Amino acid sequence: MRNIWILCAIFIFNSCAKDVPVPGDDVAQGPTPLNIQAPFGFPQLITPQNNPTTLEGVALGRKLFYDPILSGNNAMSCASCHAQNFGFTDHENTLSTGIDGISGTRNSMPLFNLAWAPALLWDGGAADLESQVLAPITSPIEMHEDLTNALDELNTHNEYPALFEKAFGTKSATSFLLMKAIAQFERTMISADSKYDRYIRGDEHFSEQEIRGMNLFSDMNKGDCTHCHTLGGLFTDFGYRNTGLDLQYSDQGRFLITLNESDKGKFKTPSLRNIALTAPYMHDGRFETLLECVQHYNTGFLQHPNLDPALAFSVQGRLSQTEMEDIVAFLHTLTDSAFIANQAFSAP
Amino acid sequence: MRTISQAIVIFLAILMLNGCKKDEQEIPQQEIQFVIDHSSGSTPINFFDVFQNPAGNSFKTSTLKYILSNFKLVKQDGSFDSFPNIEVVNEELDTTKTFKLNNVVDGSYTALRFSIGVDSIQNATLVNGGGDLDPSDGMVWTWNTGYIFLKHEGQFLDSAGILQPFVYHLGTNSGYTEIEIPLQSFKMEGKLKTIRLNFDLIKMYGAVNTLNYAIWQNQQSVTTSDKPWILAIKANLKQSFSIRSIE
Repeated sequence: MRNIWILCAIFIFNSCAKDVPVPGDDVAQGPTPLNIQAPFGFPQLITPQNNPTTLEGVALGRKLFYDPILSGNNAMSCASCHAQNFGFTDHENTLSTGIDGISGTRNSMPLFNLAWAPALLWDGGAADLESQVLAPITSPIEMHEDLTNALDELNTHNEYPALFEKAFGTKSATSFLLMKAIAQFERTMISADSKYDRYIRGDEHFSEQEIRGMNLFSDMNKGDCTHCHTLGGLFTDFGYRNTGLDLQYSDQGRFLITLNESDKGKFKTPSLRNIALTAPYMHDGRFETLLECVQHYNTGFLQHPNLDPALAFSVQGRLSQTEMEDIVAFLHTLTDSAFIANQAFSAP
Repeated sequence: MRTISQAIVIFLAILMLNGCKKDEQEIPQQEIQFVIDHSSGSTPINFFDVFQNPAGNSFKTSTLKYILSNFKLVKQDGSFDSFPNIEVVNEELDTTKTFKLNNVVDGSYTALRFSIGVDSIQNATLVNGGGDLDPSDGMVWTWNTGYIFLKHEGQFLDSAGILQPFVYHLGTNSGYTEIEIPLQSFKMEGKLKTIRLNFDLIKMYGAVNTLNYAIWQNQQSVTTSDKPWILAIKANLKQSFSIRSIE
């Protein structure tokens, strides 16, 4: 009986011998799977099958994120416009400026909880995290790098070939592996430990003002913020909305992607987590303070033909000055100090 | 117990034999080699010569590059065999103008089908490779995820005699163009066949609909709300490929 089992084992091993890893060889054992857990109150996390998260992949992605090698003049990295201290936004510039000194039309977006985002960029133009990676690298007004050139630099670098091999089993850096590595790192950037989260878990108390602010935030006749900034895990529904910032938009937002008239002036609902860190606000950074933002939704919004129904039916001036300040106090509870201090996301 | 053990051994043996089946060659399979020529009418194109399109624009080409995918060989009963090739053809690179379909089963075929571009599943992300696809090849829109199915760029003379650039970048799912070319008594019998295909730029701009560079000068599927050019050029592209020879 025992011999039969040994025989079976020999059969299996010999039949497709080339698939069997060589023991003791780190690379052959493959990268170490990393299971990302959805925090309390967050939706289920689905990692794409074609890019499972691994320790080695995340480490490579982190190095690439902070490496100016991916820009045309080797002077600008992803982190240049996405600084950890400010929720991975560009604190220096209202409109981020590329390597050639040309500024774009938008304020850089915060980077966290992107593992749940169905599409990326203010207009949702990038279909997934992997595909998004190439947009700023190749954009002439951002990192302005030729992708072939970037890959040549990685492939002749003294560290990267070994890191690609550890992460993906091949020394050769390709567009696909570059996209996958950075996306893996970004999937690990989870922010879920704000005062609000601790309050929900019963670990911390809110002040009276913060409680008033939270109630006003979700009160349909007052703040009515939760229509779009879903209360709970992500603080966004990932929808695209015209919030009546202008009657004529110089940047048409979602329209640039769909070319549908009804999408003119629509931009993605950003998460409100870490919002106190990510000034200035709106797609073009037009507001300096959170109070200005709340004022816009209270009295400032304009009757654009595409104005979101949730706002179109809102009474202008429905919030008092104190109530607006209460909402701002609540927004400050969404700051996650542990996230911006987390060494796992800082420059390696 | 012994019977069970024997059964396991037999089962594993079957598994093993099936698991490595690809080494076997039961059905005779051949290759079809494609060679692509680019022409303006009957003249082979090059980047120095000036041609005239059906709208009367004098033009010369600086880029001609496109993606071919979803190759199919149609049989007499209407069924077809599919091939996984995704080919990026670039007029400037001769190596891209020759490629092979592998594992073509012997028999008669009545039509050849292929598409310009990639289908909606492949076009939904830039991270899935396949065939020649590689975002570093320049056939992608990165800020509006998707592949550029076809690029034709160059210069033309406007009505005032001034040299102007023209750009045609076809893409998005609405730009995906399926092409069918009938095959006359085409039979695979135990050896490689070479099909020489010609892509005629003059037909691309006028086989069915006439496209004038002075009117449609900078046409990119992702930025033009003016959609009629896409339908116009798709109808033309369906007529732009022809078989020059089969050997």
